[in-house]
Amino acid sequence: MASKGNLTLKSCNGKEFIVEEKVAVMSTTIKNMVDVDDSFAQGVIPIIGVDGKILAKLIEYCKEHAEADEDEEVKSEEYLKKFDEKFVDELNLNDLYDLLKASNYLEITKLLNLLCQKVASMIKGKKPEEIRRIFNIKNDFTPEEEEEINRQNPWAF
Amino acid sequence: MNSSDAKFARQTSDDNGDTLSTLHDSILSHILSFLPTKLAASTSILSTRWKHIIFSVPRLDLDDSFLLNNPQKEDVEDDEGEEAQPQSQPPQNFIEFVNRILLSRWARDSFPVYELRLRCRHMPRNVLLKSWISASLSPNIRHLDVCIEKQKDHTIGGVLPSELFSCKALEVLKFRGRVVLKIPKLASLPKLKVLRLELLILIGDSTTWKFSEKFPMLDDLKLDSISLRNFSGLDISLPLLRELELGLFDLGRSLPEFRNLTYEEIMASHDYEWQLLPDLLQRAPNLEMLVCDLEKCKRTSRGLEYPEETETLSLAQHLREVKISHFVGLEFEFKLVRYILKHGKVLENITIRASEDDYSSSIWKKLFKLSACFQNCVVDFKFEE
Repeated sequence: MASKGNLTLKSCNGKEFIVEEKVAVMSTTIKNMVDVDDSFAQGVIPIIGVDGKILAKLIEYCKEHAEADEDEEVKSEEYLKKFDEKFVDELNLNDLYDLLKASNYLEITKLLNLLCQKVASMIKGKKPEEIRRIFNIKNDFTPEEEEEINRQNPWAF
Repeated sequence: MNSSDAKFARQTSDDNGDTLSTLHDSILSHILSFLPTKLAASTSILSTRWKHIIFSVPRLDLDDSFLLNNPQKEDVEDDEGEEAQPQSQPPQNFIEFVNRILLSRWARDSFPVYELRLRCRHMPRNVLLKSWISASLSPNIRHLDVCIEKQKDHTIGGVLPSELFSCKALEVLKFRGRVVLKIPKLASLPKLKVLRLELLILIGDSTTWKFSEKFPMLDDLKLDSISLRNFSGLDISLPLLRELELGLFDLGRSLPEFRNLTYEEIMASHDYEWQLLPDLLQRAPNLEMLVCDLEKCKRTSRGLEYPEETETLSLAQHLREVKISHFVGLEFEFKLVRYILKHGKVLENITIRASEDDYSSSIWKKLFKLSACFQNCVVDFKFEE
């Protein structure tokens, strides 16, 4: 059991992580759980649909940001920016999707913004075929439908 | 494609799955909100999954210069071009685009806009602007930033919807453009932090307008070239105000009050403001720090009259620090320093910055003499960096 001030988070594949409360409550979802039901703060908080690997990543991110919120001098804005850049650059596409889903479900707004921004930067300045290739999107329009959309948005391409 | 994107591409081609499209609509629209809306809209061609995502993007960034990708249609920068088009307004393709993106929100009502940034070079026709703004207004909107770049002073772009004041979540309201905004009697925006209005015509309810009641959280206020109609006065006492920028405007009969102002930055973009300064100081009894940038103010002190000693009580109370930049040694600038030194009873420090040139030594001598008469305060003279 976690000591006072710590929470135990359990991934969907049974891995347990003991984290400081200030780190865990970066997630609004967890914060709400702890606030509403005291037993969560004592026992184990199940993190549904998030496996151990992704949960470890989430905790890594939240830890840096919670510490920065507490002490700006040790972890400056510049340090955080670099950390964020490195954090998203090291992700492969599948981890990126899993983290997007997890940070959305757990309502970790800063991380969700960071990840969405990363995907947006991968879309920016690319032609539709390139975007489809990067994300493996299958064009399922009929030629007529495609023409119709192009006609509606002649300015966009 | 850069190398890291290529890495992603290889990884997915192994997986054979279009996982991105399996993400929830709200995540996809969140992703698109980080792109200029024109680019975001171009994703509707990717696949049927993406076709409608653009209509739920919560943050819109609509800029008509960004849509002018047809060089033949692009109107000429100079004024001759405008004369050729007497009814200048945004390009038709931009109008159609904004209609499609914004008016769909109105109809469905289920995908509120949280943030709208709208930039047009010319004022859209009256009804258009009003309907665009109405369509984006909801109890969820937090950030509204509209800028009409080129505008002839005499044209009025219509009346803004008063429902603006029922958007209680608004934190930032920026509006540049000659439009009329009628302010309802009980209007208030409890979360508003930034209010920057330029060129608007504000219509009041014939009472004195207290900013602290309307916008208690405001910390950044800019009012420039504003016309006030039907106000008996304006009270800009705001407990949290950090930044204030006032430009030329018709205040009506009474000047604003700055009772709780503790920090003030004055950019002298108009001569008019310097005439206001002494009065402004009178009305800010809690002012602790004053920053004056003289860069654009190269005129003489014509019309600058300082109040008599009996009226200058306020300066004596709290003003501790004054910073003046772009000092060039004009008569009125010395007058300003003298005035502040004389009346700033608790003043501890004045920092004056000037550019390093032939005159700097004579300016310094003169300032030194001046400060010697007032020994309570340290006068620092520095060169511009």
